[in-house]
Amino acid sequence: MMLASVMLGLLALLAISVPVGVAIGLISFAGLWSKGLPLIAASQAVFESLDSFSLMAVPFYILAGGVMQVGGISQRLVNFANALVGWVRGGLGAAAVLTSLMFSTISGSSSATTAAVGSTTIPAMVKKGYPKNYAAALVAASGELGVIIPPSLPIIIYGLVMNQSIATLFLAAIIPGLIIGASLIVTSIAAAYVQGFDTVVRVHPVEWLKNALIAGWKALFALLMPVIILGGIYSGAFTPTEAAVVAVAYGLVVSLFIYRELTWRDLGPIFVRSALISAGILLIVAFASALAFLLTISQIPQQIGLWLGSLTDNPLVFLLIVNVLLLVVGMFMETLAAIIILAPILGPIASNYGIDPIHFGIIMIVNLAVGMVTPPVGVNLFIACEVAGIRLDQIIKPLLLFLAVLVFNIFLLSYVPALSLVFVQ
Amino acid sequence: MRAISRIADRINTLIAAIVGMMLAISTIAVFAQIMVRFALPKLGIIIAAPWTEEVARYFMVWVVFLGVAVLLRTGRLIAVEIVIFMAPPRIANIVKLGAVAVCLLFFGIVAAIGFDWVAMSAIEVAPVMRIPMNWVYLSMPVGALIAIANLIIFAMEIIVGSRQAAGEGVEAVE
Amino acid sequence: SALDITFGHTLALDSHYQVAAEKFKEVVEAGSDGELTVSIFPQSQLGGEVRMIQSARTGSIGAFITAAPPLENTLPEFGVFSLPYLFDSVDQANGVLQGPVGDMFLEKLSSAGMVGMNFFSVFERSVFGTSPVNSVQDMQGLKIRVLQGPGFIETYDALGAQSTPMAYSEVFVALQNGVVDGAEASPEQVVQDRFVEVIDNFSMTKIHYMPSMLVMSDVIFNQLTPEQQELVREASAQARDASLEAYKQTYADALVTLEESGVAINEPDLAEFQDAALALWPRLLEGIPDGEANLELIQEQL
Ligand code: NA
Ligand code: NA
Repeated sequence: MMLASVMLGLLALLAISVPVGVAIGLISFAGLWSKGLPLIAASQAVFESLDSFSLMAVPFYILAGGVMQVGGISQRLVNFANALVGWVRGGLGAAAVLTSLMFSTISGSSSATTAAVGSTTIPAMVKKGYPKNYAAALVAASGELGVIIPPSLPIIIYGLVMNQSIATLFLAAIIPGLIIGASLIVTSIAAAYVQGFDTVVRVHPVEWLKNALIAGWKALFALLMPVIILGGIYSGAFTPTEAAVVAVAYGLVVSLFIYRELTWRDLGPIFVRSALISAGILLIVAFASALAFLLTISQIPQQIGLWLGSLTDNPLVFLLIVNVLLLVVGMFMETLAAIIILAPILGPIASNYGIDPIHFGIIMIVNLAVGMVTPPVGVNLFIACEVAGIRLDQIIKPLLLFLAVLVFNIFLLSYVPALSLVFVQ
Repeated sequence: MRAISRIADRINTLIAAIVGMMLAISTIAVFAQIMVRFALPKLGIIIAAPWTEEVARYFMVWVVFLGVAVLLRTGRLIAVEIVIFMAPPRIANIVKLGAVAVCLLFFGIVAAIGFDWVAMSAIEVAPVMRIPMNWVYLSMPVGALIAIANLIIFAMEIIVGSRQAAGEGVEAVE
Repeated sequence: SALDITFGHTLALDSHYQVAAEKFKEVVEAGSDGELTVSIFPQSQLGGEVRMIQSARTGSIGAFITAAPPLENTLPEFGVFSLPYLFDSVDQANGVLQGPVGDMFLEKLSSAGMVGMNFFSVFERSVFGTSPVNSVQDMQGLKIRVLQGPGFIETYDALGAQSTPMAYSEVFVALQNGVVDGAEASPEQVVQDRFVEVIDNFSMTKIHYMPSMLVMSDVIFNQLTPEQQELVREASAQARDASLEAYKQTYADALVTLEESGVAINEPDLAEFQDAALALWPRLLEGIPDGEANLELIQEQL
């Protein structure tokens, strides 16, 4: 009953364009009020969630991404990816995916990845004869790597909500990210062969190596970024939040002094913009934790657990139910809010089915990341369509191919825990 | 109305600059922490700076509430705007005004519980810096009051026609 | 209709907190003829201790178990219990807290909208991590994650370590990767939270004896009839007994588990630790209201 009114209330408010954080907060107030609890309970939840050092990784990675985007790093990554795989048929598409993959090691968000990669690769693909809507769909789909390959804002939030180590979750997400990236590269090459677009550029191996080395050298400082972030975390130099600040500092040094594409004057706007973007996201995080308190105290997780338990005691069936549920939720809901609300409900149930909480985190992230590419509400789609200059309905047809690949990956990663856990144990 | 909009824009530009500065302070505080734990011991200097974490966290709380208020000046909070974009402009404006009304209700409640919270927390101090926690907790009602002012101006602009509901993009990062 | 008491704590299902919480639930539900129910939320489901304190003050939750340090933000007098080497043993510390001094401190909670029910067992907190601590010399330059409070931070700094702030959920990986060299906690927490998998040493430095207590919300307590109030007090007393016994058991079991897992248990001579720590008392006491007076009351009971 409670759950139904919460969900209906949320949908109604979201439908009339009430901001996500406001809708969630208002529903929490209503729920607390209906249970006779003081509304001030919401402020306790809000401040506890915001006053967190681990959560600060979110604004710091957004800031790092902001510095990278302006500082000339993404263009160098595109050039490098192109030098590596641009010569095969469909190579430009493959290079776009590869660029997303490399950019993902710097950026924690999928929309930033889609925007940064799309703005350079979509026009290039169109110029080479790729259909506009195909190019946009490819970039939108590979943009989801931004939240799978570490660093990742949704992973940080999952770790916080579920009390799991963010560093461990980052580690667990690497292979899944690489698998998704590889499968998208293969798909884009295969699609080019089948549909017959993109030409093969003959390059002599020596020439290829020379070009790759030159482009790689020019992109070196960008390529070193993941080494510093992940290497720093796993060698014991810093925590994930500190690594984000190191990334900011490193990005500033490279863009200001080495690439010199950033001036001191640009810094103010970058900090302001990153702070405002962070505020918009963290408002959702803050009030989603108030809603989570309401659901916890109403024992909703236990009720859902009992209900699921009555349906099946098979973990494989449970995972199937979870995957379908998350795909549907991801179509309509903002990813971070979905994690904060659903992880405390589904996580303990998954544990009872014997599913490792780290593996379950990867399942949730990979699944909700697809939500960023599914209509009607998919941030990657909006950005890719805007960059390509097409309407949302035009992107759907080529998108179906990539969605099929992404959904296949969800099942692969759900049912083969080793892919997530091999480094972890 | 033009004059009000212009003054509001100036004030919000100032608040936005403060918010950006606060993020910069947080960043520097964490950087200092890394230096203290990672770099200085290599030079034989061992000090502890537990205050860095509190500085970073408390400024970030202010960033959130002030930043949200600034975003509302132009209606840029993350929202699902499909209806607004699909509907004819008149309907879009009406729906948007409805959403603004809901936001006003929300930030009204937030301001009220925010002040209650401040009143109740007068005895709380920060664990390390021992400053009153109300320096942090005030961010919520203060941010909510600015948000309310910005929402009212935003709504008035739609009513007098100097702003289109479907005009602004949303700062969405996921 | 029945009143449900929302009961929160931060520890695992095999902790002495959970044992005590279940005892409380059992006694309340058996004695109230269906009028009172208790819903237990372990593992920080209702938030951390600071938030549960706030929630109880506003009546959003009914009861919770907290350690003393998180209370210091609200009731700074509790800071006296964070003095290093205030007590010599678990039994001695529990003895004082179950006596008049303990009662006096429980009374203080009423000024902040809470009812102090009973002190539960103290936690004996020692240093664990990758390197052994057999002397104060071994502490020099060690990066140790400590509880956030002056009594902890300043003590570890005074002993020559580098106290490091860190979220509890990151400590496991931080120990594994060497971001920190150690942390401090009670032995059973080291086992329950799996730190045992990534450490080689548990050094019985016994620096802090951290009190814990059952607290109720004033708002909720006042909704009870006098008979029901009597019942929850009785339930709390029985929960206390369960906690004292369960802590000893989990502590002893943990030391066995640590040894079986190949963790070296070091027993340093505590005299030099105590000397270094006692020199710090005057400075710490300056920051604690009524610190001197309450310290005297405590020491009279030893
Ligand atoms: Na990423
Ligand atoms: Na979607």
